[in-house]
Amino acid sequence: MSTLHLIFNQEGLNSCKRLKAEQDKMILLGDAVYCAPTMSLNGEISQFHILIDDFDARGLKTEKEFCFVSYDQMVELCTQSTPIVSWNA
Amino acid sequence: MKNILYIISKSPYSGIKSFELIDSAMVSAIFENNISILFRAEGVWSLLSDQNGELLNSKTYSKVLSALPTYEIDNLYFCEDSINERQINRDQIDIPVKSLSLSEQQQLIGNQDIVMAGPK
Repeated sequence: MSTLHLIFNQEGLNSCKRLKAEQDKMILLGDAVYCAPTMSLNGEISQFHILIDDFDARGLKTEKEFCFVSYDQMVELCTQSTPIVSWNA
Repeated sequence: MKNILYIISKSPYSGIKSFELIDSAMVSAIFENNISILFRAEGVWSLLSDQNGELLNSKTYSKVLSALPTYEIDNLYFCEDSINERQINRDQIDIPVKSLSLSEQQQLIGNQDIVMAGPK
């Protein structure tokens, strides 16, 4: 099974990017969704899933094709992945 | 009557600290103090319009901010550099809030009797 990284904030994103393997999946949630608009500028964002509730709640907007996931889809990703790594800081 | 400045430097929806500072500012305004609020660092994310806290079972921060003039809190400021670093456009913000450079923020702080920067 593949590894899933749950990224909660900017520092978590920085740590995760250094330590993740090529094929690992990643989800941006919580304050990490604030990183999405700037990452979209260099195409890096295509590697990430983004939790849509957290994105919308914060009033963020995008015209780009982000790979949004719902809570249900996030749970599905979690059941398909081992281990799951939470990057809180 | 005192000049009191609240400095908000935390993002709005992870934890309640930022909401608590705003609540405290509103209470303080009722006691006829002259209140200013400065948003800087991660705190500037609070200013985005069209937030929806219901998705997170929370109050909606942007709605709370738009109610501040009712409490006679009209001096809202943000750090120009913090907005630019996060590539936030002025058109994403629809409450009346003034942009301040670092030296203007120093002046603002210098003019206060009390500055509340909140718990870490």
